[in-house]
Amino acid sequence: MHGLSVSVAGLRLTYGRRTILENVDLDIASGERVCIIGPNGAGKSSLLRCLTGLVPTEPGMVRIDGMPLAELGRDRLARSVAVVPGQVALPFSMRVEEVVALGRIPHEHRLSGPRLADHAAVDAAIERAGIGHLRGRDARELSLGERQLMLIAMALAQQGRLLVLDEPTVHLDLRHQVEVMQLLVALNEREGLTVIAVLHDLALAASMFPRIVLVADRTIVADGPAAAVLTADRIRDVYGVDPRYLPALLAPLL
Amino acid sequence: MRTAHAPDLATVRVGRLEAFRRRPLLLGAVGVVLLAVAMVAGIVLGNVPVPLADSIAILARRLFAWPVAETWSPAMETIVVELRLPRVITALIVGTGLAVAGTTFQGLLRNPLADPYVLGTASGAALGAAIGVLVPVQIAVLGFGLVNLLAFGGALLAVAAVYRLSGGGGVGSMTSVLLTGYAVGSLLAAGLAMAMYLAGSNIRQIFFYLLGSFAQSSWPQLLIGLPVIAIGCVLIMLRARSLNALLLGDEAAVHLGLDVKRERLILLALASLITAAAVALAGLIGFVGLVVPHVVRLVVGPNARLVLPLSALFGASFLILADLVARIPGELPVGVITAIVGAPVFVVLLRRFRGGYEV
Repeated sequence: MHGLSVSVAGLRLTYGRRTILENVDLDIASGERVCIIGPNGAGKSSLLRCLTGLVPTEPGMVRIDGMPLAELGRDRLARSVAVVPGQVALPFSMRVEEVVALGRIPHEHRLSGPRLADHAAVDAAIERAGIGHLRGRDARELSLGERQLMLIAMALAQQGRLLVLDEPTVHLDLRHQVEVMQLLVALNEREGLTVIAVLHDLALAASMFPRIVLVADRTIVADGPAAAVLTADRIRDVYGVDPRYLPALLAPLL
Repeated sequence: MRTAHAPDLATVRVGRLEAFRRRPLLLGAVGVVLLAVAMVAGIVLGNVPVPLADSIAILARRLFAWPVAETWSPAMETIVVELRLPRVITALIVGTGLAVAGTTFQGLLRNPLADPYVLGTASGAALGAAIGVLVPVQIAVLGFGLVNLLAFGGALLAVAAVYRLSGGGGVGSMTSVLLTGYAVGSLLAAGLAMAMYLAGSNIRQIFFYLLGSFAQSSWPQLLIGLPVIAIGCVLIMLRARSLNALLLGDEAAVHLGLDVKRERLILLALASLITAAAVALAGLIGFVGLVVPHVVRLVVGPNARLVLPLSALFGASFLILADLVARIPGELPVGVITAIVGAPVFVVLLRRFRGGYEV
């Protein structure tokens, strides 16, 4: 089992007359760990939405493992690409293992429901995310950090070979940030999953991801290792930060 | 101070029901027994008690043509076969339909306060029924009078209007569907108020319809009403997977491989059709579609594969028993009974399982 590759060529996305993304080219090889960064409203989340099929794109603009997104079909896409949900509001009380089990929906039998293999995959995902102690807890009473680990477990139960996360560490305390990041690194390095995450914390991105993609002004402006992408000049230009604050902000990077 | 080992209040209280959560089939078995008891009670009990043995003999003779000696009066036979049996079966199918439709609407709208009437069905049906009372025309199709037919049509038209006006429900737009439902419902309620004002002495008939009743139940009505609701419920149960996928929201559902827009339209149409048929059979009966799915969810969790069939079972029993209670003192509206029982049960549940629900 290898991680999936992703290739984006000449991607353009418009909502009405507003252009959200244009001229986006991005090749992510199997087993890479990539972080997408950029200012608010630059198009990071939209790029993720295109990659995961949430927003329809023109044929051939996005390919997963060489296959155009549209030809992949909903079912196969859901079995190949696991997206960790962003904000989640559960309408009913649910236990942690029940939420994780939702990840099996693309695999389970349409009519007869989950089988033994599905239950085993849920157990394995709970184990892998290290949340065995949360079994039986009401998912709505978890702390944000526990909740994030639960949602990652759900994505793991989905058994996709590409894991996509939109700001997985936002609002988390330091310990949970590290825990989530260590899990992502392990999944990527030991199990070969391709991992794509959007982050806002530049220091975290730089320390945990070998490849950084900087999105600004509707397109990709830099792509490569942190040292090459996160230069003081570029951060000042892209984020519009007063140069006086840069040394303090970038201390961990420089 | 709270330690990791101290279970909170809600966990302790749910603890007793944990056996059902681990083995939902057990709860299903309880549901089947309860339904059987409710049906027998519904046939045997009433203003004219018919002994159990006679009831069984009558049914065996009339339904299965068994050669049983007649030890009962012809009046008893009429009561059992022409009045009570269709009435019990109507309550069964309406209870099933409302519970399944309620579960579906709560899941689709991701709103615990949703019930089968939430998208304007109730006001549409009520206005239709009121117009049916006002128009001095007598027609009957398959045992349904003008009032029932207009209620059925009114319910469906109201939902269709809500769906169209809210823009058909793209991803993430269920709030606008809900709000449109409220707006359309308010408009139709104004029409209903006008109709009641004009109704004069016929107002009692409208009220009777608004509060629900099984007094008019008959075999011809069941001939069409039963298959519509039964097939609708089965088709929804076959889509339990879609309701599960929607638990985490529209975007997560897309990522789980669901064609959200299509599934939502299908489920909405089926649940509305069931509701409209239930309204045509028995008028507006509240609380079944709201309370029953919640009670079931509190016991077995929100998995639609379990909640749908179990709600159907308990909704059926609940309504048969509620109708029994309603007719013994002499034809009270059944909606009054379901409200008297349902509202306190709902409040108790919300208090006990605080934190279980947030809106």
